[in-house]
Amino acid sequence: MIVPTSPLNIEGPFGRFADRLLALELPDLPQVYHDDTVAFICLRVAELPSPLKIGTSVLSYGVGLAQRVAGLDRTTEFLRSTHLPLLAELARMVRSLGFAFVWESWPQTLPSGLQGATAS
Amino acid sequence: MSALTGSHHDCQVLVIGSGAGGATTAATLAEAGFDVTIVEEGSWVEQGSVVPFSLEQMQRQYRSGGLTVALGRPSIAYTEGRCAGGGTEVNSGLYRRPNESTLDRWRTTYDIVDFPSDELFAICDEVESALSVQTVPGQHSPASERLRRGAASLGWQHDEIPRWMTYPDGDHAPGQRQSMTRTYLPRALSSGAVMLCEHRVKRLVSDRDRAFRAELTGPGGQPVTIDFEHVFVCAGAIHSPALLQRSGHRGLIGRRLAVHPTVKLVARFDQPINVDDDVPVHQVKEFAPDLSFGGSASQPGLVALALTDNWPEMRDAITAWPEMAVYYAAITSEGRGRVRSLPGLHDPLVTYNLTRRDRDLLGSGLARLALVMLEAGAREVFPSFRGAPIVRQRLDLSEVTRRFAATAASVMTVHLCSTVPMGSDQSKAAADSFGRLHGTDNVYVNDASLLPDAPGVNPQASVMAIAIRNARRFAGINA
Repeated sequence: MIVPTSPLNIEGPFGRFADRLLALELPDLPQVYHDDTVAFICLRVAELPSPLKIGTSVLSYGVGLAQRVAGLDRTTEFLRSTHLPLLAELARMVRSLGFAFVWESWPQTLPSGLQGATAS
Repeated sequence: MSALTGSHHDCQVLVIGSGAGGATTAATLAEAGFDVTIVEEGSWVEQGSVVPFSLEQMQRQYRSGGLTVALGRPSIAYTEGRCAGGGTEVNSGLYRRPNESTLDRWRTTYDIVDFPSDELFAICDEVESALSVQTVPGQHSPASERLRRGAASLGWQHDEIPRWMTYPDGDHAPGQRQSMTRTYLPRALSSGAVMLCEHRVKRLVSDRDRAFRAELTGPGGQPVTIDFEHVFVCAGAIHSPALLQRSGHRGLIGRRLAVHPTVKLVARFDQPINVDDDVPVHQVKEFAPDLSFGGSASQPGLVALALTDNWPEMRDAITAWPEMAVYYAAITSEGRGRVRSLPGLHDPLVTYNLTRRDRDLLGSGLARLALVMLEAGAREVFPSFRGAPIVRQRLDLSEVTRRFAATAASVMTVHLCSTVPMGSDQSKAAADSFGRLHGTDNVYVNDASLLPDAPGVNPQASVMAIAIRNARRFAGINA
């Protein structure tokens, strides 16, 4: 269960990061689909095995601090492009869950997130 | 399905877990007249009520929704079934007997006594009959046929792996999976076994060398206890050692996790080949047991997932997912991992270290797999690692090898074993030659944890044959 204070909550630093990263990588995804996807990502991350959940929570607290100091956009851009161990896994996790959800749910989605009439 | 009510139960034999090891153990013992109770952490999900390989299936039938990882450099994503029938409900159903050389290595290295190959193969015969193990009677899926064609073009050894499937219409679609909920679990239940789903065993309580009680939590979190004479821990290669550790057993338990690490690519062809609810049945065995190639589930979401490591360069391909399929290169790893139950945490910490040879083999394996795809007629191949090139011709393959780094790849596995290895050599084995935990009177392990190392093929035939062997031995002694 997600508790209000969890950093993995949709309103928490991880949720804000997921929201911003998806907006950058799938900018044309309809807002309702975008919101569903962010919610899906946060729900799944909340179900991580406990050691991973603790690690992700600790990282997310740090991300939250960075978001306050450097701003959401700069923090997201850094996490999006970094290859640093552990930190790079946050973006990978968001992409993996998000893209799998988007193309399973709406397989006609174009690379920008725009909804195409047919897949190919 | 039978059910018990109340917060305390008694039984003669408690079987924890209902996958390939637990279901066969329960059926064998119930049919031999034992009073058996099966405990399963997940739910009973009827086949057909969920789309195979979908995110919904991951949510309902996988542990942690499929988000389980062995930490390391690189980390290795793995999946475990968490439902009645365990992994047999969610895997591809491919079935391969252990090799004679593998059995001989286990027998000699771990000093496993009374472990004749002919006995195990006779049990395999029974299992294959019970599960209707067979090859596809009709046409293969396009993605499987492409893999076969590529290997044949190169003159590389390949074959079709039989599956536990029936084909009511005489063709590959729609096959019916003969998993544990359709085979061994109904046999156990019809012989008097009872089953508690959605119950998690927290720990086993022992008096000296003898365990006598399991403490559980029920579906609503309520405490439940089960007293028993004997217990078989069959919760899989991660959660069997974790439960034993929570129950105070340490030593060699959880120290030698073995897996078949895999890396993936997406191949794009000129015609539609994507089948979203099935997997290819062909495998390429030219470099076995070190290296094998096969096909994965290829729902559009999984195609997108396989492209994420290089999304900026590869994203435009996603619209062509009907022409794409996901394939894998699997290695027999020299590395090992650990499972550690940590105080206060619900789940164990899992780690795995690939060796340098493992990392190199993953890279060369991926390049060879890309070659198979080109030979099969792929117009583009998209390896799944950060910085990978798009392969369009043979000249590009050297660039795959040059750029590959295991730490940049999405490495995953579905074959987990060897965390409670069996054998009479107590310097190497945590359980005796028949699965009884060393140092205990009545605690048995009977699942993939017992396999001394990764067999180089799908391990479930090995798991089931050894589980039935051990259960029969137990029944013979304790009748």
